[in-house]
Amino acid sequence: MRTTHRSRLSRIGDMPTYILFLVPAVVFLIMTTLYPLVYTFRLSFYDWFLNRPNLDPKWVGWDNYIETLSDAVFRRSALNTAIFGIGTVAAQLIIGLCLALAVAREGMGMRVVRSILLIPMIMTPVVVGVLWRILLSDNGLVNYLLDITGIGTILWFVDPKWAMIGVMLVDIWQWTPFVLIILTAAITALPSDPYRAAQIDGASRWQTFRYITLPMLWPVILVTGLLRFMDAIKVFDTIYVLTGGGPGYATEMLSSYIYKEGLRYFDIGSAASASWIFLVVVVALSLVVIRARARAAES
Amino acid sequence: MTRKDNSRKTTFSRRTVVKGASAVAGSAALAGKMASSTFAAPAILGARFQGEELTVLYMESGTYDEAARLIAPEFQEATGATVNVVAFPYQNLHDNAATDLVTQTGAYDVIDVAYQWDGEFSPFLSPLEDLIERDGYDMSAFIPNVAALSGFWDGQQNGIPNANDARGIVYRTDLFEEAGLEPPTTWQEYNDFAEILTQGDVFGASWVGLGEQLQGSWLSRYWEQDVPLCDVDWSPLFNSPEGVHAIELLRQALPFAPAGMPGWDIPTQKNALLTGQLAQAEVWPSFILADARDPEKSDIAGKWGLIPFPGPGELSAWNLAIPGTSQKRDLAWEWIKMYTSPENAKRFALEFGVGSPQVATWEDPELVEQFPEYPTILEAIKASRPIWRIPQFPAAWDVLQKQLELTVYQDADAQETLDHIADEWNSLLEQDPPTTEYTEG
Repeated sequence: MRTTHRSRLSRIGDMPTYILFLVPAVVFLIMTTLYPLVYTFRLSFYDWFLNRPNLDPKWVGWDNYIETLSDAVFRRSALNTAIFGIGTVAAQLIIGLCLALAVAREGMGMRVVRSILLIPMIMTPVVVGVLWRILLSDNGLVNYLLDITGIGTILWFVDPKWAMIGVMLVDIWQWTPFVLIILTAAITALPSDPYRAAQIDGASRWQTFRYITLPMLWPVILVTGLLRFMDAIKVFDTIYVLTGGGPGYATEMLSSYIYKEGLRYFDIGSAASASWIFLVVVVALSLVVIRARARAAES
Repeated sequence: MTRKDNSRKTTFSRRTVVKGASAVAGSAALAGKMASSTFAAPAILGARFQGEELTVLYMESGTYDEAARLIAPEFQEATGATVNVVAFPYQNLHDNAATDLVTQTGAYDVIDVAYQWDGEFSPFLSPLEDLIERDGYDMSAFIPNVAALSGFWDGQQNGIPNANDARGIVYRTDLFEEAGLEPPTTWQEYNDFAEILTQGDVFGASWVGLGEQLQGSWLSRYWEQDVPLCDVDWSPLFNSPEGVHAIELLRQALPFAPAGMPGWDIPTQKNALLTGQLAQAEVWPSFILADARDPEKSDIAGKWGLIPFPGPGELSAWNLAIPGTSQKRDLAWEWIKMYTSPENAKRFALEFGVGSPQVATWEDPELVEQFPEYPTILEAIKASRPIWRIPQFPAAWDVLQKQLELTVYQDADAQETLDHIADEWNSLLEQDPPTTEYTEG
């Protein structure tokens, strides 16, 4: 008891040291995260064009938010972003899990296979965009393969439906390896006792997967899905190179909408309000997933 | 002492006078040379700019940027300054240059400005009048409408024209001859001929479907009907039967174009043209001319001709400007003078097919012999019309592009689409109403 009391006192005595060590990190966070966030929030209430020095910033209250939410292009971009985010992450989790189950074994061969599967993730998004723009072109390799298999040519950059599918396929191709790495590590770290018990009880492979592997992996799958989703909805470079958001607004995403408002038209108030709407939605979705993960971990 | 002093004074005076006279004579000769030539004497500049570095920004196109890279070593030899040529594709050149100017980053000492950005960039550029006057730079050498529209904004000379172009139609002379056709004189004829010429692997119509190029194809079909885009007060006039007709003309041509054409960029169309897949192609001549006549690069060498657009085309013009943030204004000006010298204009035309803004280049006998299309292109440039040059240009043209894609390639109603574009343009104009009357001259 006395030792505990002394220990507490000693901790209190060390407080200035703790604070001293914490201050740089806190100041850095305030400067790089909190201040820009607050400043962006303030900007979202102004009508301000950075490229027109003749116009002074004008306070417009919530007008930017109202205009952004009533802008058909913003709404279309938000819908596209949701479809893109949900579609790609779902596919990446399913494919990534299947691949992880297949390659989560020891041996030189498996290590080589895992390394090869990681290549798309290492490539820069612009290179991926250029590469797939060539592969998906009218006379590209993908259409050649579709042609010889009798499916026929797909006009990936002309048909709005196929344009969206095309950009999703590219994202799935590039980021499934991320899911693969995490789930492979998680599978390798699973305890072996439940599997031995299942073997003794005569459980089939499917039953073992359904009732042991999947429940134990679930919290990891949720976190991986959340990380991928937050990344997927920020997609920019690949789509910018692949389709430029077209045809029409078929592949226009929220990130490209904000980019154009802010860095092409320099309508900084509109860009700030769209950013804040985007942020609020992402935070809300993240909270839902974090809660679901906590529940899964508890159960 | 006094004598001695006097004699010393006299001797010194003589030397000074001789030296001074030489210097004055040398300077006068140099000044004369600088005034007559577009570029200053290397020895003098070499000492002045030795060791400095100049960063210049161009469009990545294999033309203007390559021309800059070609003369960079010569500029270094002449001035002692090294040149760092930075290039971005047209799609992100505006955003990159505008961000640098607006944020006052000062990454570039010279920027190649498309004339449609003149109004937006003007507050951030350094006016050049004093330098033009100081060096007697000859502004009368430029094609008049190019000089008036490229680099000159609100009574201020911010840039020196360095390149321009006017769109035309490259047509296959062999296929036209076989079909007994003459080149089209109207867009309706273009469509009619496209139908006749579409056979086997050859398509009768084509344009660059992607990005900013569709607007140009629509604009020419609209301007063919002799209606301006806006009235003098900038109110849009194109949401009219003429605007709808221009869309209909594009839609009618689509069945005679390759199915994937709406997704084409400039290199893809060029490749299709040079491999003989297109009977008619709407092109920027400067990107085509040099390669199309080279049998090693072109299957259609000797089998093509160029005509201007049936309707007035959209002008393309570029000018070299110095950002207000540049700390190397004099060196940047030397670069502009070298890049835009008549000698280099001819050289760039020969080597890269760059369309010169100077009349003399288009009338140069050697060039006209090599490029028989030159008189046609010059006439097209003179007849071409400018697009918006006010700061709202990027937003207005993005709306135009996206909405045209929806109505030409998809099934959006043409009139409703044009009404929507007009509404968007009106709200953009309300943000910052232009102070001058709208004109297409």
